[in-house]
Formats: sequence, structure tokens, C-alpha cells
Amino acid sequence: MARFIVITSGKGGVGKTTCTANLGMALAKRGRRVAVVDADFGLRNLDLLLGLENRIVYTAVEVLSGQCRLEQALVKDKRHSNLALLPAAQNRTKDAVTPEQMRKLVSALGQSHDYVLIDSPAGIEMGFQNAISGAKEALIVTTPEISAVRDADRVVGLLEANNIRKIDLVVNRIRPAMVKANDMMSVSDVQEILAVPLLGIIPDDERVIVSTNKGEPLVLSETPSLAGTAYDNIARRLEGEKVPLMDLTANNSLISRLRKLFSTKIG
Amino acid sequence: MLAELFSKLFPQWRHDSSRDTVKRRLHLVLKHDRIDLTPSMVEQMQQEILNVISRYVEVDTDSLEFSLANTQRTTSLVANVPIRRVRSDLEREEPSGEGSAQFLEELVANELEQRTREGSVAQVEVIEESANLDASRPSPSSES
Repeated sequence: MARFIVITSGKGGVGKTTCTANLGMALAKRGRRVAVVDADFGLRNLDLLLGLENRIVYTAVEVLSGQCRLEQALVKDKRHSNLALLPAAQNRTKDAVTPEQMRKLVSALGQSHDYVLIDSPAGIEMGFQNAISGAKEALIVTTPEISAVRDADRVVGLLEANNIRKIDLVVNRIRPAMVKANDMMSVSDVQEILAVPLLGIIPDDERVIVSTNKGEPLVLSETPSLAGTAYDNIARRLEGEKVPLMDLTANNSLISRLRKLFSTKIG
Repeated sequence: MLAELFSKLFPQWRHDSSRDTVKRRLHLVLKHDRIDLTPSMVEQMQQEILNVISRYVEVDTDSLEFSLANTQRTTSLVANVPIRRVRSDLEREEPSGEGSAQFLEELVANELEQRTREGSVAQVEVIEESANLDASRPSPSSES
């Protein structure tokens, strides 16, 4: 039985696409068959985050118009072939598809995948409606900033109104030092306000930008990163594993890194 | 650094951190966002509730409290209405009595003030109209 999860936020730029790319890849690493769907018609970016932008031949629009089969449009990742991307059309807008069409596409993908992750566009208009139409679960991504939280709250309300009850929260770009200085809301501040169960925390990490530059999801990096580990943890939690939240206040100094190195089990 | 030291010695004088401020602002804004009512709609609702209650009891308008409360994801309108006395049957049967006409005029004045502040002029006329209608009905007791 496939899981259909929409990754949404309301606010733009909080990390939905980054989350979809990394979560998709993290799940694929663990052997799951994952389809990631870019629902951002006209402003697609999931292809960039995965580094698959040169391999797009057909998009969801061509599948829906019958120009090609679904399998022909799916772009299989070269690093992990059990991850596939259904690209969005770049030369159209959000009205190029209807919710009913999206539902059919997503449902078809569910026949041959364990996870169908739908990357929602920002906003609450047609693009959002399309993105949620095939979903049974939702991940709300927010940053600990006032606009993002307000928008996330609205989206939670809309999801509930559209009968998506399984909603989990991901708080992205948290800066522990700022939280400590009382200049940023903490994860529990945000979680209390939104009153939605917390799935994971992702710290603000410069390496995310580097990974985007290269088109290589951070979870694939050879050297572990805070954000990459966070995404891996979220994937594990999605799979039902109980993973404690990362201690972000831990010092990242040389001494503590050496200490961690010596205490990490090999194999 | 000196400011930090000062705020540590005298914690009650530390001004709100921006974190406290943002939480406060979010709570307020979400209370209103969640019930999808504009502040002027809430205000109007309160006035009308007050009208109805005032038909039965005399209300202490100074210590009247209306507020929105947030629990989990639902918002409730909470009204704390102190009652001075219960209106007699006679008062209740004659809705256009002297007391209620005055009360209505006060309400209109408040409403006008409120609406001019918010710029919603259209609704002001409706209220004025109903106030005029009531005022033109003959009142049982004479005003001198």
C-alpha cells in the first residue's frame, strides 16, 4: 500500500523542494521505491535539486494529454534507480492541470512505488489544490519566522478542510544560537503554536546551498552534515523508527568532532 | 554587554525579547485568522450580542469583557457580562422605550466612531436608519 504525502507550506522558500528531494533520496537509499512529483507547474525546481534537469524529456502534461506513457516521463535517478521524478511543465502555469488529473497521476504512481512525494508550490490557489488532491498525508514545512508560521497555520486549516488529517510538521532552518539568544522562536514555540505533531527539525546549514549548487541532495554526501543527518532521521521516522531529535545545541568544535569520531561505531 | 549585565541584575526591567514579541504577535494574529472574522465583524457581533442581552438584563458596560481565546486549533469567543439588574417585564415588552432608545443612540455613536476609523462607510447608513426608525416611534414616557 503506497503512501501519498504532499509536502507543502504556504509560504515560499522555506524548504519544501529541498525537503522533497532529500527525503525522497533518503528513502530511496533505504531501498524504498520512491516517486517524487513536481507539482509546481511553471516554476519547477525539483529537477534542479536532484540534478536531473538535463534528463527531462516528457512532463506530467504530456502524460495527461496522452502524448506519452507515464513510465516514459518518469526520470530515474542514476545514483539510486529506485527514485524517480515526474517533472512539471515549465512552459505552462498552474491551471495546466486539474485536481482530478493530478489525482489520477498520483494514484497511478502508487501502483509501482512505496512512496509518492508531491512537492507542492507555494500559495493556496490552484497549484496547491492540485498538489493536495492526490495526497493522503501532509508534511508542513515551516521556518521559525512569523510569516512562515502564519501561512503554515492557514495551510493546516485548509488541509483539514480537505480531509487530510495526517499532518506532520518539519521545522526548517533553525539557528540554535539565535534561539538561545531569544532572537528566534524555538522548535517547541512553533510546534505549540501550530499544534501539529513534530516530525523533524532541520538546522540552518550552509551545506544545503552547496548541495543545491551541485544538484546533489545532501543525504548523498560522503561527509555527514547536520542537515543531511536531519533528513535521514526524518526518513527513518517516516518508516516508523523512533529516532530522538538531534541535539543542535551541541558544540561543533574540533574537540567535540574528534570525540564524536572516536565514539562512532564502524559498520 | 553592559545592558546584558543590567538585565541579569534586574530581570523585571528586561524588555521583551524579540522571541517573546513574535510569539505574542502570532498568538493574536492566529486567533483572528483562524475564525476568519475581521476585527470589525467581531466588534459588530459583540454589539449585537450586547443588544440582545440588554433586552433582558441591564449590563455593566464598564466591566464588560469580550475576548477571543485559543485552545489547540480552535478559537472561542468568550464574553464576561456583569449584570446590574434584571429588567422588569414591562421594560422588556416595550422595546422602543426611552431607555433602549438612548442605549441605541449610544450604540450608533460608538458604531459611527468605529466605522469611520476603519473607513467602512456603507454600513453606517444602515444603522443610522434603524436608529431613526426607533426614535420616531412614540415613546410611553415623555422626555423633557
